Amino acid sequence: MILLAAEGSTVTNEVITTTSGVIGIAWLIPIVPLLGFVAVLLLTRSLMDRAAYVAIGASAVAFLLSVGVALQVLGDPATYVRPLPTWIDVGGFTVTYDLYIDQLTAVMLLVVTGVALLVHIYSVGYMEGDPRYERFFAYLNLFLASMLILVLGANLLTLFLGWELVGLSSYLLIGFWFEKPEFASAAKKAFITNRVGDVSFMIAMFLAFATFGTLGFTEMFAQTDTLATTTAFALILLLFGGAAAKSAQIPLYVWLPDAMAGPTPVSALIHAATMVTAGVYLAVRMSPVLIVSVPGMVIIAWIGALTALLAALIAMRQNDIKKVLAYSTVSQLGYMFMAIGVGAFRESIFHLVTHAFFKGLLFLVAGSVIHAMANRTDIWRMGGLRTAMPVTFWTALIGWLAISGVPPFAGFFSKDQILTEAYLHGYGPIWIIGLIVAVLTAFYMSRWFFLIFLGAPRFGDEVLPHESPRSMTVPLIVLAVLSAVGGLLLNPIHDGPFYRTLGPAVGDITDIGYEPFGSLTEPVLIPLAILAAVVGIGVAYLFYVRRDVSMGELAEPIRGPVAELEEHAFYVDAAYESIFVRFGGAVARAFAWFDANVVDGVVRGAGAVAVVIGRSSRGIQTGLVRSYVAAFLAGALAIVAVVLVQVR
Amino acid sequence: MEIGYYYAVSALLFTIGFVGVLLRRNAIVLFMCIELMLNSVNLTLAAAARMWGGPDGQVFVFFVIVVAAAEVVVGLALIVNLFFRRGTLDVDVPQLLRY
Amino acid sequence: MELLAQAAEGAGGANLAEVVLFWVFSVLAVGAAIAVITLRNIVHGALMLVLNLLAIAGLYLTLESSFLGIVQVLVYAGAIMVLFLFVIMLLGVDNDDLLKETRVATRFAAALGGALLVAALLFAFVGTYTSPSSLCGQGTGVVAGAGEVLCVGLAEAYGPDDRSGVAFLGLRLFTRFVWPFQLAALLLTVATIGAVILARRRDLEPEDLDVGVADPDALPPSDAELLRADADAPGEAGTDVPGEEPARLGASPLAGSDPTERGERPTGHDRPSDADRGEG
Repeated sequence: MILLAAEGSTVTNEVITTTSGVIGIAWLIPIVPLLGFVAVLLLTRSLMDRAAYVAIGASAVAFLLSVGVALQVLGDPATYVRPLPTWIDVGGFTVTYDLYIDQLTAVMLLVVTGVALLVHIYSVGYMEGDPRYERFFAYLNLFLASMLILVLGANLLTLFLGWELVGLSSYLLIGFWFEKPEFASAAKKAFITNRVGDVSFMIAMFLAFATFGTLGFTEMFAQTDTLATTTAFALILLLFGGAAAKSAQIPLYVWLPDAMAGPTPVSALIHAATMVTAGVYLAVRMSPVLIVSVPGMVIIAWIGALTALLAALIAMRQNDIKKVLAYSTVSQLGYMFMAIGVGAFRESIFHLVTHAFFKGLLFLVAGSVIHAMANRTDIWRMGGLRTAMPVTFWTALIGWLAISGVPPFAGFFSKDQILTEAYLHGYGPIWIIGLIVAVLTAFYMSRWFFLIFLGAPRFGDEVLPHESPRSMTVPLIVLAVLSAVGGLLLNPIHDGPFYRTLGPAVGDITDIGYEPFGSLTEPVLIPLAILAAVVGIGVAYLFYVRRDVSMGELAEPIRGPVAELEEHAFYVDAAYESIFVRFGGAVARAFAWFDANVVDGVVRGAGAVAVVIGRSSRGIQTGLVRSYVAAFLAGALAIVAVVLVQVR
Repeated sequence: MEIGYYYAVSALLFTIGFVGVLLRRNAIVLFMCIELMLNSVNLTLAAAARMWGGPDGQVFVFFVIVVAAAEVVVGLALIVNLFFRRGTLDVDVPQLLRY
Repeated sequence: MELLAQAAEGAGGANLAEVVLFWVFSVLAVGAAIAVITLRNIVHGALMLVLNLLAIAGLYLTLESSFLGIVQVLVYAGAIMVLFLFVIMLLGVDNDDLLKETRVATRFAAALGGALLVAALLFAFVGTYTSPSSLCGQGTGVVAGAGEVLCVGLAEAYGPDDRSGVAFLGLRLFTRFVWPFQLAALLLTVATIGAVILARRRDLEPEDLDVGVADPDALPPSDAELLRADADAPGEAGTDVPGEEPARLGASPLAGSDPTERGERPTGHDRPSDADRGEG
């Protein structure tokens, strides 16, 4: 078995602490974009449009440094720790800014800085003429720095620092056009939903510290042998709670579709390629802990699978060019967590990488289309853009095929390997759900693609679609190439170079002893996955290309209550509205009433009591000298009485 | 004489002074009653000085007399002032401390 | 005089003298005190107080404190009471009509308070020391029992050469109590100055108001003063509101800020006072 051979070759990494070489200057990777952020923010006035070049320069430096780090790490199966000054040192609790660089870090660095560089370049064209052009680039650099802190941190708290900072920059960028109230509230929704997960993450950190006495990865992983299964179970679920918010899993996925309010490059970078995968990164980073509790992983797998299914169903009936992609992102993230849950950590990261390529590409395509369509986003009012936007069309074609899982494009390899792994690890129902989701994915992405680029134009005369400028098409082409050949180059077979490189960095699942679900082998499973893609695309072709869709949305072929349900995203938002917003609001109002009437009442009551006492007792103050003398006498007599009682 | 007799006289004088303060409304009489009380205390001090054989009690009486002199000067000035302002010596008339 | 001399002899002298003098002076003192608080004529009351003070001076003599007796006569009976009488004469109030207006309840309260006070004082303080052992001049042989006090007498403290104790007191005042002594001097000075300032009749000397203000016309009247001027002289305020300030200042070159201070204020004892305004 190829698979078993691959898993057997897993070796534990040697930890090397070094301050020399390229690892020694790795701390520059997050610092340079941070400086870019500060510089652009401080010099907005003098830089003007040149701010973009500062930001691009900063991200390019980060990318080049990441390449250097990656070359060092990928050729040498070791984990490097770059010591940096201490952040917190309280009693036995020590947190440093150390960098933790292994193969997983290197992959994440390349993905993050690479996509970020492309999105920076793309934004030059996309954001041209925006009144807050400079600030946009400042925020992009802030996000990049935050994400790199997240990826490079050598302990959970540093990771959490980046985690919170990406949340902040995400909030700033979703609400970038905050003049529109719904955009501003979308930003708030994202921020608040993420806070829910942050609480879970923080409790996870408390538990981790209580259990391990440290938050450092190396120290924690060294103790996994003695970790109790129940503790690991709790830790996994708490960490997953944090990851579910950041990576938009059930039940905290609701913010991501709304996050499409941000500029499209932001959606591509943050809400498709990088930030939302932070949860996946966290889970894989903690995989040595995950493997201690298989039930915890099963829960992750099921939530991932259900998220993938739910989001795919919703995506089938979305009409907004970005909403489809947003739910698709949720669905694909579900795939990644499904992979983590079934013990396919490397497959998960592989899918993360390919997803960054093709979903980043698709979002940038969407941005290009929106740019050309004068900010229209309804896919029913597009169509026939193939001729007007050839570059966008061809790159979108590659992205579409990649996400649909058509070989030899990138998505096929990663998705197929997740499904295969789910089957071979004995999770039959999850495998079946994965296959269904693959069909659905192919279907809704084909619908998206066909409605935008094929058929007759449905946008009328007032819009004149045109190809986007060079700064936008070049990133499209680069990402299209990566989407096309990325999978093939990285990991064409199950024991490819990517997995071999990544092997030492993830948890070792050989001891779990997975049994295959059935007797099917890889040569059978792969055609099944291809078949799923073909079915999805074929059905979509019949519905949206062969049929007449010139009537627009009325031509939607799938009708009925289920479709209605899907169109309204299963009323999850409405349910949350009534459960959390209304009920929570009622509770808050009750507390506000309590505060205003009881708590403040006590305070005011104290004042009122003082006033009453004062009113009733002020009669004593007659202003008559002799009454005071009489009181004096009474007091003196009282003292004498006390003395008599006490002494005699 | 037993010391208690002096104390008894002192107590009587003090009480008379105090009753005077309670009874009279004329500021000057009030003031004279205060002098009475001061003197009764002085008597106590002198008696105690003899009993304990420590003449420091007499020094104390000396200082009390000095302070009383100063007090009388200021007090009478206040009374004069009061009379000029109010036209009366009735201590119940000024009620600035009344609520 | 013989009795007084014997009493001044101190503990060793004839006890009879002390007893006789004590009773004489005590009865005098208490009787005079009662007269002080009951007589309606204040001058009589003050004279009774003089008598009381003289009686106390006599009691000081029986207590071997002849210096105190002399000081009592000089300072209290001589100086302080003269001051009292002087004030009474100055204000011209020798009859206290207020005594007639005293309510019965007040009298009752005063009597009850006095009874309680004297009872308390006698029980709490007098009884404690009333025992044969505290009897001075009874000679040796009496030993103080538990809780009792032995009367020592002052002969030993004064020493053989200083029967009256003046030298002893002088020594004490200029050695151990020199700082209180100095402070007492300071206190007397301050009290004198304070009395001078307090008793001054401002309304009779308007030029004194200008002290410390070089050019009073330059100071605008405060709002409160203007309001007061309006309230006190409504007709005037009503007639020349526009030019009120210059007219008013021009009319009063002596420049008290308030016209009522000089022109309209009635002199005498029944004029409205500052304190009345404060109450309003």
